[in-house]
Amino acid sequence: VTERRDRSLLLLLTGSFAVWLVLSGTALNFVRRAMLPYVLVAGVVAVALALLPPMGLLSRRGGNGHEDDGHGHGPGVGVGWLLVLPVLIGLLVPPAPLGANAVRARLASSGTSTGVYPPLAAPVGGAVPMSMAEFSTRALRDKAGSLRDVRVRLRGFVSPGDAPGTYRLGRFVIFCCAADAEAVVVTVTGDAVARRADQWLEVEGTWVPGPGEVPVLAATAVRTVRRPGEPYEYTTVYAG
Amino acid sequence: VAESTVGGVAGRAPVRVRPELVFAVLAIAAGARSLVASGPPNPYVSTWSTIFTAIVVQALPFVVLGVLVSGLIASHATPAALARLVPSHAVLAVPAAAAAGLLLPGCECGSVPVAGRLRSRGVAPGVAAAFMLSAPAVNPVVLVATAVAFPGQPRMWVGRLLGSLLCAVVVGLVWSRFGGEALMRPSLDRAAADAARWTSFSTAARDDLLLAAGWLVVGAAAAATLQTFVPRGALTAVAGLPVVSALALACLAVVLSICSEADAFVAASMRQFSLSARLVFLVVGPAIDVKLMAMQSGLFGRRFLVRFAPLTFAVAVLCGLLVGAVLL
Repeated sequence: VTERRDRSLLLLLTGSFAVWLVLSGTALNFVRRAMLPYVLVAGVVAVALALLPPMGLLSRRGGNGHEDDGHGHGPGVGVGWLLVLPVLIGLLVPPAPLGANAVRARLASSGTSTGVYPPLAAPVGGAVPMSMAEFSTRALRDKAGSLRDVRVRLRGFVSPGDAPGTYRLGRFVIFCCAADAEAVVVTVTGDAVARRADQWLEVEGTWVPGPGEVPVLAATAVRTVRRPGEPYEYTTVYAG
Repeated sequence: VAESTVGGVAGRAPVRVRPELVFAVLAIAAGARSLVASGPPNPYVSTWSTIFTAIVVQALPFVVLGVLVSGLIASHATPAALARLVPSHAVLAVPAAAAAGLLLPGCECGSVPVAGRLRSRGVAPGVAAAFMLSAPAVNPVVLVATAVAFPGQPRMWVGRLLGSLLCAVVVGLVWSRFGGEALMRPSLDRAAADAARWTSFSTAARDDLLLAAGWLVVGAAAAATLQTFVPRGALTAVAGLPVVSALALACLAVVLSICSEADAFVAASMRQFSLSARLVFLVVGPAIDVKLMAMQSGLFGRRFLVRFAPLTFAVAVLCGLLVGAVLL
């Protein structure tokens, strides 16, 4: 019975951890939004398996030890105890999205493309709001130069730049979870303020055409913003 | 009702963990967090725990789907019924099992417990292995994702379908011929044979969920460590060399342990590599990676893994190269 109760407790712990991750929005640091309903259902199923009789905690026979099938010679839960680890790590390390430290190891590669790009979105407040992935792809690969002389607005976090006086604005693009994340970065010039790594900024400016793997944005207005609830971009359109 | 030992090596007492202790540790950790995490965390620790948690969270729905299927097998599929369903000769049964993989929309983490449960219902190791290899690679969700990731290049998803099916069939047949019954440990049925269906279902689903998710934690920790300390760009040096680049991407697929639903997008973004090298990446990834190795050794035993992993890796690389040479 102990062994059965241990299993139930571990399933309850894992299931409620999954449910909490989704309901609190913390899960967006790890997976894309479209995954959330599945994680939630998985958590609910784990909780149900933990509670429902005859095996679960709600079983009337379970707690009293009338049915002695686990004491002393039971199989034990074994590797299942490792499920404590994700919860423990979630408690000890504040859940955070991938940041500046992970950028260099996960840079998305540029390439050539003959694709035809859709027209730009309409400007809002004097600048075209755009995902980092869209900006980077158009800057590096659109032969028609659709970004030329367009004032754009980008949102991302700071990572160190290559030249003094510059920094990189970056964002991770994920397809499923943070394990498949790739960093999209833009070099920002013309910002006189020193920015610290992992600070989130909204930058307005125009693209500076030039060679190189990292597109350049000449900033005209920069303001600090809070880290968005959805820290990753999810595009698939601009992935290929 | 006497229960037998699960996964315990005979003669060695299973390690007893006191749950009170574990939950006390959790409570202390919750309390200590404010003290420990007052400054910004070490960036490597932060990256590692984000990737680790991401792999576990992302895989959890697929593991749960897998153990629900596994529970249904335990509660509804009698060995006799499965024997009627599965052809008795491996030459027919292995391709049939590989084709059945088209039906289970999951990723690789879910198909491991299903294969273990099929074994416990008398399905031969080679047949269960063929299903385990094909299910995560050729189901409709994965094929659609591949088609979306490679727009205008239908040969990629067709190539993936053919390469993965071929790999599953070849490994299944080789395993049927040389593998032997004992090498692939069946999952244990702990519910009595005459137990109610719900009891059989929930017993099997609970056991498999703890076992598979527990080993998933091991695999996720290994994959997160490799991802944190090995930069992806390290491979681009060999991108131009035909067979070497395919081997490099095959190793990358093993190291990254990306879900089969997402790997096509990663492959699509590796533009320096040829399409055939990237096809090898897509065929190897769902068949064998670090995370799967942990789960397979946990469910089927270490003796299984040391034979199955190299075999699968070699066959998957060859199938990917072959299909790529013909198709791309």
